[in-house]
Amino acid sequence: MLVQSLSLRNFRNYETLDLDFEPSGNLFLGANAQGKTNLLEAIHCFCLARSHRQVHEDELIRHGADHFLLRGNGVGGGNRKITVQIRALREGGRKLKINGVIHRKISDLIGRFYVVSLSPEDVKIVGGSPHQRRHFLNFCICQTSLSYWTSLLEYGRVLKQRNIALKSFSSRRWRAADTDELEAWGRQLASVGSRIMRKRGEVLRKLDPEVSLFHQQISDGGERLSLTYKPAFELAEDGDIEEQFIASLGHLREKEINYGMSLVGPHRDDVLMTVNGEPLRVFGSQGQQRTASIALKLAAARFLEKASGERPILLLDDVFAELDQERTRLLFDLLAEFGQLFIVTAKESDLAGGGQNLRKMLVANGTVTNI
Amino acid sequence: MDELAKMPGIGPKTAQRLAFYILKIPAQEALSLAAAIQDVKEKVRYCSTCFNLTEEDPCAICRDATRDSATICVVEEANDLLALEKTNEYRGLYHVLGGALSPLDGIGPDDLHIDELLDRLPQGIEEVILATNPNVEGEATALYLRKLLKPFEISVTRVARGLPVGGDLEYADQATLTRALEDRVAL
Ligand SMILES: [Zn+2]
Repeated sequence: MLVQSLSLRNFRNYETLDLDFEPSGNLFLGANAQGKTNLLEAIHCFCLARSHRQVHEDELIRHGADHFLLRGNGVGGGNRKITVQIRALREGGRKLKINGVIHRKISDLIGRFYVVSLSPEDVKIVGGSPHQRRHFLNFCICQTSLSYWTSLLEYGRVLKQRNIALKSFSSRRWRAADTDELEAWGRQLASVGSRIMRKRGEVLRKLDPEVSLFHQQISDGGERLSLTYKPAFELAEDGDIEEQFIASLGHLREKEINYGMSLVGPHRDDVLMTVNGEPLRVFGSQGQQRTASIALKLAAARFLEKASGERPILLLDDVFAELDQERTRLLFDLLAEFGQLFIVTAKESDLAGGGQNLRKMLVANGTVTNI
Repeated sequence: MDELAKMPGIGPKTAQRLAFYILKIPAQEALSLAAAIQDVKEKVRYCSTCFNLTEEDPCAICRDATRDSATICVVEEANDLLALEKTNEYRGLYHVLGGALSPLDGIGPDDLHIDELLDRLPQGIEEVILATNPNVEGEATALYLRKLLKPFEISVTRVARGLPVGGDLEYADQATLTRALEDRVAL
């Protein structure tokens, strides 16, 4: 998969910018706050119709403009040439065109380009709240499975309905019909929720050996990093997930009514990451967490590659400044196995001699020049 | 024009187009349109048995002796009933709930015609088909009804999910609807 060219209009700090890229890789050099990361964000947005940062869509539109437009050419899944155009309006709403044809659903872009981004922020996946780990997992699975994406939307809707029902039950006297209504919403939460949990478990089992391998390659080698799905309720491995979900809702009924919210389900689940059996989130040093987060992202890229037979596009935002020379060299060796690279760095010396074959571009003050 | 735009499915642009259309047609036609609207308001009411829209109570479907009176198909709105009738496949009776469970909109079981459905069961009903919309709310309503219908020892089936996800029965094409009716599954 490749992005060959990209035009930005009113995207972040760029009013007008037209770029073309090398298939092997591209390097954006420049001092901080010149708009380097915004370029990675534009590529991410072009491929997946959303930013790699957790930001409001509004922030992507240049100050004073009423929309942004991204348009470019590439080679998508199945080795097909593809032209994509995305227009996002400040008043809300996005317009997607693929090969000149209007697509009503933004999700039609899914599966055309696979992208994995790496940035110093990724340590949050390891050290941050469970939400970060769920987000990582969702993002990874959504790229390969439209049905998973649909399940997430459906689950969100059921959860919202059920929480409002619980809240209203807790604020008034209990009625006989409430029991049956709560059960109906609970059964649906369990039905959609167990689908999500099953898929996450399945994907984690594929990610686990890859993460472990990458981690050994970029760390000192003696540590074994592993991932386990950690549902919010006790889950017996050989049992049916949906049945256990329903049973757990039964046990929590009083508590859920008291709290006025749903206490178990994929919206509360976590991924346990351990190194040699010790939970990394609590016991890991900053350095360990950083290495683990890079291993996670590379494993995600490998997962996407195995799922599709295509090498995903990798975006690396200033990840080398935080690594020593040895690790940077190890990482560059691994990167050679992946698809098209887009690398942002302030100092070329941070690359420790890696990335010699990349096209170099200087980013300064909202302009980009080949060097 | 504001009045026109209040109607379901009519945005400000369509309202403007309708207003221009009404301006252009002869006065006589405009008056008969107004009369038709008044007629709807005065004559059309809910069938006291199935809550279909009708000018006579009970409605034509409930009165039709050739229909299979042992089967009830439960739908959310009268529109859904019309969509199913168009397939010409279904020959039983209907029951219109008047919506689906949706705490977000403040709709609970008491706001739907559920008690009236239960009242109809002793009249020789052998099968109830749950044809609520295949979205989150329709699904929850079907689950709720399934539980409620269990003690009555009648056959309860759910129209299979051959319908587009998140879609409404009203917008499904007829081939899909026919297939969905044939593929209904026992609950
Ligand atoms: Zn009737």
